Amino acid sequence: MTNRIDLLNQKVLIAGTDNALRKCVYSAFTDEGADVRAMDPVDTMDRAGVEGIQAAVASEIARLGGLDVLVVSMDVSSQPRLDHAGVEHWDAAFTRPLKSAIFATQAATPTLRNSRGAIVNLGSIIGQMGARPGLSITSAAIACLIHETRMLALRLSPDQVRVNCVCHGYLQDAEITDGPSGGDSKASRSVATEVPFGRLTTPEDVVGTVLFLASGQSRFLTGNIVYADGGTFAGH
Amino acid sequence: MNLADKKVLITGSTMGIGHASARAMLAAGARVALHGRNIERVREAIAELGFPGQSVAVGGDVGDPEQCRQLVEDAVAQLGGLDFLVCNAGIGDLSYPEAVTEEHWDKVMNVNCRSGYLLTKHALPALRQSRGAVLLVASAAGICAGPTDNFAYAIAKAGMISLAQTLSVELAPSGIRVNALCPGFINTPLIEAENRATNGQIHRFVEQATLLHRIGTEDECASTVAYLATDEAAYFTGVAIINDGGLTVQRSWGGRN
Repeated sequence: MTNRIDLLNQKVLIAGTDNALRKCVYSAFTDEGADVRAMDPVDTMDRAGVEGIQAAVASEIARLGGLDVLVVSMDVSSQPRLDHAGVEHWDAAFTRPLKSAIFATQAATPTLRNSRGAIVNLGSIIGQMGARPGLSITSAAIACLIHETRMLALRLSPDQVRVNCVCHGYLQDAEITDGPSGGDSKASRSVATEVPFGRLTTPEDVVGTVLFLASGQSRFLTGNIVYADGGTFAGH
Repeated sequence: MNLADKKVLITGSTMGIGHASARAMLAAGARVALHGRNIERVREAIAELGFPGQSVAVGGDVGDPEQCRQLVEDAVAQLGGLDFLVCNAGIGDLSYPEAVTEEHWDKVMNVNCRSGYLLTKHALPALRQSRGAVLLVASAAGICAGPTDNFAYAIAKAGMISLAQTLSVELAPSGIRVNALCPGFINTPLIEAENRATNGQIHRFVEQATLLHRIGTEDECASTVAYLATDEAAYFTGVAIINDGGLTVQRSWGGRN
């Protein structure tokens, strides 16, 4: 066994909305010599339902000729505050992204059991803490993905399938909460006060942890939540 | 414990933790709107409790968004306000991750998680007036993974804990506190039915998995719920309180996947 991340010829499926993070993860696996496919489970479910997700995952696995790594990425989706949010906002930021992630994973699991593969979930620290108003629905969905990581890790351990989750830090200034307001003073918060490393998270900050968790270098890690957040979750 | 004149709505209070909590709060002087899917059953529960002058009944399915709105408005109208909302109604789950169906997933998520969001939303006008509090009843299963045949349930409860965190931030400027309660194994009808369905597996598991070697009682949960309704609990917000007899501290998953 070498002490380097070896993903050569690994069969990788990335399930998530096409965005900068997914592109970065895709390129990183490709650079390591993996065979990579990507799909958007939310879009697939909107068009063809849960059966459509199952068919799409099966089709991607067939094209890859198997599966070693599944990456499931869930976006941060800003919605109106509690007063103005309704069921349609819950559907958009909770029901659809979470359900499509769960059923994409379910569809890929039998193949991963055979290959003794790995699942890497991708969420945000806001799923583990009091996020700003407007992010409560998406935070709940991400909290669910984080807990699914633990539940699946236990379920799949007999087959040595590892399931872990990377939580990125703030991607945008808009995710940072306003300070508690009261009287005539309003605390102002920013990356300078909320992120020990003093800046927002970039996709490149996250992708190395994803590769590590997909590789044999993390062979005894399962059910873990890893924060790639410049120290944000550590303190207050 | 003094809850004189406190106005409380507690969902899912015809049996189990909700019923015991309603009894504890009524005994402390609160006026309580009890709730269940079947309003006749709620009226029976009120008669059993023996505080008819302090109790009102509301009905509806918390899995349905419109009924969430109606039942909160009905409770607020009957009580003349609201100080404490307890989102307790929930359903159990026996489904492994590979076996969960879309229909089952939707039902568990809507009843055990979305309801917390929607009930709190509809209670906002009344809670702003009273500068009241919300308690979302989650579960120790939402903190620490255990046997995975409650896959959807545990995940929904993790979502409920997240809602307590984020809504505490959002509602603090309105003087509203939001917390979660995470009971472990409590001898509710839900758990006892699951125990029967698994030939006593739940009780055997609890006896070896908890530091106290026993299942918790409904009253042990109810006293915590009632405490969180008091003014003495005014410094709690945004937290998940775990009431589990030492189940989660050792991270013992019970030896079955």
